[in-house]
Amino acid sequence: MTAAAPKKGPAVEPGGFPLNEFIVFSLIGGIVVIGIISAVIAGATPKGILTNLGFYVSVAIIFSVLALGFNLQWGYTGLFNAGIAGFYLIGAYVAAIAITSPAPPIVVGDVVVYPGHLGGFSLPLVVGVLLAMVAAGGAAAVVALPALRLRADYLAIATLALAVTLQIVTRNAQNITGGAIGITSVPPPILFQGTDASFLNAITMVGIGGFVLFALLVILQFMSESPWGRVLRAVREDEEATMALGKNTFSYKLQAFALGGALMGLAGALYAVTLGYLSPESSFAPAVTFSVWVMVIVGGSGNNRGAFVGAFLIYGMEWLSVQVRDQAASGLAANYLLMSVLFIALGVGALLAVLAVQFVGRRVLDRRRAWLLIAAILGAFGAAPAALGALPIGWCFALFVLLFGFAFVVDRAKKSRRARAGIYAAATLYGVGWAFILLQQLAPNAVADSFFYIRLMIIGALLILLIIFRPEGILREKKRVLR
Amino acid sequence: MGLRRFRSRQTDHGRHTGTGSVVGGASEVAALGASTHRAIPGATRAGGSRRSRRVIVAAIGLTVLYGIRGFANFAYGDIATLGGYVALVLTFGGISLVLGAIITFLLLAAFGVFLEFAIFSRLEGRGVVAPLVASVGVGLIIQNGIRAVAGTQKWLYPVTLGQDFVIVPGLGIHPIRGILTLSVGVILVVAAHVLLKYTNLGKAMRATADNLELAKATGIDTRRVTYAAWAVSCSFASIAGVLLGLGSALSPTVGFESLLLIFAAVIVGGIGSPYGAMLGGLLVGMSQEMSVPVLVWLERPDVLGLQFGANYKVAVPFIILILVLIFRPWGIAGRKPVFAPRAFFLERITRSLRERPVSSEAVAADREAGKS
Amino acid sequence: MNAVEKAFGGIRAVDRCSLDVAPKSITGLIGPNGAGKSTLFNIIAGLYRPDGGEIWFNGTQIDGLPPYDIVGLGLTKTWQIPHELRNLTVLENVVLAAKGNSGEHLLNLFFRPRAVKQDEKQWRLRAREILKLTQLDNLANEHARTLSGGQKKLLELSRALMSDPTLVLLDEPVAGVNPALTGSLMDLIERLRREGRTFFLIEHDMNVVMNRCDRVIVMHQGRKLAEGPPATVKTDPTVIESYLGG
Repeated sequence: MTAAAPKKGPAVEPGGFPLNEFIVFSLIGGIVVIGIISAVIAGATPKGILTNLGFYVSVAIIFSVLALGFNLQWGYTGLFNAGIAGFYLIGAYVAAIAITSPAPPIVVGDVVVYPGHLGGFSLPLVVGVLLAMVAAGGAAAVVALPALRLRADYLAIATLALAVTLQIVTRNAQNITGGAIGITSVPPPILFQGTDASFLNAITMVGIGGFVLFALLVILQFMSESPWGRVLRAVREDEEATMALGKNTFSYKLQAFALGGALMGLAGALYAVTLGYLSPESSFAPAVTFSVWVMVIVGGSGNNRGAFVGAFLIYGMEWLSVQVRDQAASGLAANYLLMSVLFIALGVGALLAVLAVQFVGRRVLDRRRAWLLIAAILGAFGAAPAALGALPIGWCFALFVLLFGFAFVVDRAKKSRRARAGIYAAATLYGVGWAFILLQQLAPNAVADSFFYIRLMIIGALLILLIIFRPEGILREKKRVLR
Repeated sequence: MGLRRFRSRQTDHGRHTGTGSVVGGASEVAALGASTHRAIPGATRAGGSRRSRRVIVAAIGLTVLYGIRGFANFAYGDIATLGGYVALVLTFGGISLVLGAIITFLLLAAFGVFLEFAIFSRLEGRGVVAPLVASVGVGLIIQNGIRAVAGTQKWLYPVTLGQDFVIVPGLGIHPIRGILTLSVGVILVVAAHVLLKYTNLGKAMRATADNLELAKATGIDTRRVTYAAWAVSCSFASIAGVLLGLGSALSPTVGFESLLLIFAAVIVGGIGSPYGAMLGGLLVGMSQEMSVPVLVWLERPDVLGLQFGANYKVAVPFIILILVLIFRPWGIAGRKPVFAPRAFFLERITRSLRERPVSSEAVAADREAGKS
Repeated sequence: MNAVEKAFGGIRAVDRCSLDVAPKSITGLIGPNGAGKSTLFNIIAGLYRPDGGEIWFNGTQIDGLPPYDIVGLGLTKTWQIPHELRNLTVLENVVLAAKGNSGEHLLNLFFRPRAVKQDEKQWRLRAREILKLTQLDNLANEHARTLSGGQKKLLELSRALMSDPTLVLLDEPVAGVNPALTGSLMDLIERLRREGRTFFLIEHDMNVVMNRCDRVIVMHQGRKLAEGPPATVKTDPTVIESYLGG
């Protein structure tokens, strides 16, 4: 995984234009801009827009914390965790149970309307968060103990098993977790009253989350660049050799895995207070785990900055697609075309980003063409709002031609099998997007229903493309030059 | 025989509505629900063996691929689901389910070869995690593609399922779920056995699973073996998918929900060992169903007061998995590798228990592995 | 260093092989491919568990101990196929081999930051010195994966020296190293021996073995075939038959 082919040079020459950073941040910027534009079109108030953006940022922060935890486990130590959702769930539930007030069962006649849940300890938030971290970290250590000495895939299977089992147990252990209904009233950090409550709440959460994320980044950076972090990276490269150098690799793996698990627990606790309620269904589905993988791989594993950038990017795409869908559903765009155009623009943007990263990373492009590529990405994003006033199908067609033309040019320029495969994969997916538009003309409701699934399919496609073409991510791990 | 009887029954396309209700959401259990929840030991055992058969077919397919290709295919459950749905679509086209299943079998074999060609061959030599990640991507695409196209509702094959034949009160056999799946399961297990034991391809597959480098050195075309493994694996998955659909109903997650069980079976049996997978599937499936009476007992207020105890049986494969990983990571039927990873924390414990543990199993130390 | 004995069952990679390595010596271990030499090294270093027999090192029984404890006692091994840590720099590779670097303990990072800083600084200086010895100092900040095969061997040796060992197990230290460098490498090893370190090395280069080793042990099919000063071994008929003469 981490073994990049030795012939690959650095993405940019030292002192050159930080192209990869530019691409990443322009993508995140693009997401925010499109989000704001679509909200403005929908007629949202400034406060509404900010609330919504605040929600994006605070959930992106939660995913960043998850990604940082996973990065500590996999990016640094090479321990592949397939059960991120499980540790996340533990953190969320432990924190929620610790800080909520008592919730007795509600029975109307003979029917149990709400089974109640364990807890009602009304502990302060900080205590709840610490408990969540300890519980998730402890669970990580316990699962890892038997699996750590084995090959990476045993650990993956064991952790996946834990996550799946935990989700089902949470659903069934009604008197502890509130069952399928979950825990309904997790108190926010500060209780606001009045009409601005949700706005103020969003701002508070961004503040708290931002502080936590900043502190984590500083601490993790310090830890991972220390001699301790160096041993972790050594374990990742070659465990046997590290053992022969006199390191108790098992202990290091256990430490890294437990700490990563604790971070996931922290993310869970943040999630509980951000949302204010918990249910075991979609928030802790295995798809969460897979999204975090994509985030870390996109950002660049073994690189804390990459993990958090990846989280903002990938969650941003999810958020944006939900935004657009909600607006479409609320009747703004009675024809679903607006939604689809934005959606496809997003998909193309993502794919172009992948391609861009791939080609830039492989130094196929010279500077001039790199700029062309950035223009294409921004164009893909820009096309969406522009399409509002124009004939959407015409725009899509133009983009389609653009992509294929681009693919053709690059293919000519560099006759490499990998380049071609990447391009054709992009073109195929784009074709799928097209089919999606046509389908939606025929059956608009079906498309609205399948929206989330198509998003997950894109996550799947990203996983495959990234792992094949660009396993080291956008912001690759830096070389540590010691003085 | 079982097949012929099935076909005659298939003439009237009556629809069967689900028998059991799913409390736990592990929908595969749904059809077993009605009898299982009564928790009569006999019925439970029948449910266990039924469940294990589906797991066995799937586990053989997975273990063949795991052994040869060397990575955990997380898309396996979803490939099984895909098989179930392809067969469903074929039956809508007026083809009988048996024929549909055979066509599905072939289609999915081709699909497996395509997957290796398009994706996984590019990830060779990149360790165990890269193909695992890619397989998750494949699984996500299949599962959500099915959701997008066929919706999230449950589908039933247009076949009459009929009632249980009651043998003894409390212990019945269902004509399709019991007898048909039993016969198909047995046929596939025998087929796998014949393939692996008596054909050249099967011998090459076993050799490759045992030692890839050695197989290459002895002139086995490992590329071909890899493709064959994918074909066998995915076609077995498709049959497992059809059996899952017959057992309860098809839903987009029906395969993913069994994935854990299948992995547990494979690891318990020892990765790469089809016979181990058969044993493992039997063991995991049975122990899961056998745990129900215990869990029901725990429900009693004077014991633990557990609510909906029977639903906790989903945790059983997890517990088995962890135990196997601690004590016999190479599986029950598997052979201890010559240079097994040392478990220092276990060694410390055993050393304190007895003076000097001498294992006679690493006996098969292969001189080639001596490296010098 | 006292009596070393190993027993294996079945097809025996190392078959009840007993040998001694005298302190402050350079002992060579030779034998045809598949004789079990590397396996023996891995067993001594704790990477494989012996199925029987005892290994004593400086009065401590070390068989069954995990490799990191054995390194702690002052016994280090290098690999036949270099196990460089690919995506770490050369300097990082070497610094990593230091024993008792306090910064490698998680709690120290937060509670004794000053000691950690000092330690790290001191070990980096030491690593640079060692890299100078092995002539890798100009590559100190390159990724280890960019080194050539011979340079990787040198890196192996540098890492071994960094842990300040009393006994070093060298698995083909000069294979792939260019001839000019081989000489200076062996000079270095001899100098270090005079400083009081013991070397036990596997080597196929007969020049090195015959000219530089004090004693030579010959292994064949997991068994010890002969032992003695190079000159004696060279003329031993059984050795010539199974190995040298071939």
